[in-house]
Amino acid sequence: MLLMTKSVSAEAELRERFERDALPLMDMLYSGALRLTRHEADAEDLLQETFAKAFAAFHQYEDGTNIKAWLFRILQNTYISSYRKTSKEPFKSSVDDLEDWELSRLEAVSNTAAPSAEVEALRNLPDKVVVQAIHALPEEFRTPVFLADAEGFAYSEIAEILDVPMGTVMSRIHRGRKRLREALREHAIELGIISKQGES
Amino acid sequence: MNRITCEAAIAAIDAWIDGELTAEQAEVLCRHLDICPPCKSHSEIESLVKDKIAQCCTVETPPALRERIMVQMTQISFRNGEHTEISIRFEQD
Repeated sequence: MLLMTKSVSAEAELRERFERDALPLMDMLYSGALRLTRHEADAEDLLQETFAKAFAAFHQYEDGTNIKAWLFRILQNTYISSYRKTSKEPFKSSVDDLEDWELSRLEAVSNTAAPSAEVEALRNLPDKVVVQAIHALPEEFRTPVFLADAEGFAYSEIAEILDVPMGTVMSRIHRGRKRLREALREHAIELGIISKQGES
Repeated sequence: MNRITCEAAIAAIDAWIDGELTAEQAEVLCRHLDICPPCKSHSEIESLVKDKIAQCCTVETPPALRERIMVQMTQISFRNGEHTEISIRFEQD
C-alpha cells in the first residue's frame, strides 16, 4: 500500500519536474526538429516522438544537470534512427517567391559597392532566403551551426549532443559558416543587391 | 605583446563570436582587428550571419502539436511501466 502511494507521488513529482524543466524548451526543440528534417510534418512527428522518449526516460535524467543538452541529444538520436534515412530534399524556394515588400527592402541597398555593402545586404536579406541557405547546407554543418547560433550551445555541449570531438565541432562550424556566407552572398548577387565587383 | 597573423585571426573569429575564447585570446584577437580592416570586416559579417541565423531559425511550436504532446504526456507514463520502475527505486532507498 505504502509502495503504491510512494510510486504515485514519485510519478506526480516526475511529471511536475518535466513540466517545469522540459516543456518550456518545446519551441527550441521544435526549431531544432525543423532544421534537422526541413519539413514541417516530419518536424512535428519528430518533436512528438522526442517528447515521448524524453518523458519515458526522464527518471534517468539527473536533476540540475543540463536539461537542454539532454533533450537535444534525444532529438538528435531520434532523428538519426527514424528520420534521416527518409530525409527529403528541402522545399526549394527562389527569388521569384519573394513578396514585393521583401524585394523593395532589398532594392533600397542595391548598387552599393562600399566594403560595408555586404554587411548591409546581409542585414536586409529576407528571412526565407536565410532559411533556404541554411537548409541547403549539408547536415554535418547545418546542425552544429544551428546549435551554436540559434540555441547558443557551447562547443562542449554541441560535442556532447552530436557525439563528436570538440575539434570536429569547431571545424564544422567554421566550414559551415563559410559555406553559408558564400551562399548568402550569392543570393544577394542574384537579388541584385550587391554587384560581383562589390565582393571583397 | 602577442601578435597574430590574419590567417590565425580568421580562424579564431568563429570561436570569438561564440564566446569560446579566453579573455587573453580575445584581447589578442581584438588588437589585431583594431589594426586590420579586412579582418574587422570579416568579423562583422560573421557576427551578422550568426545573428541572422538566430533570428530566422527560432520558431514557435504549432498550438495543435503542443496540445498533442500535452495529451500524449498524460498517456505515456501509465503505458510503459514507469510505475514499476519508480517503485523499485523507492524500495532500494
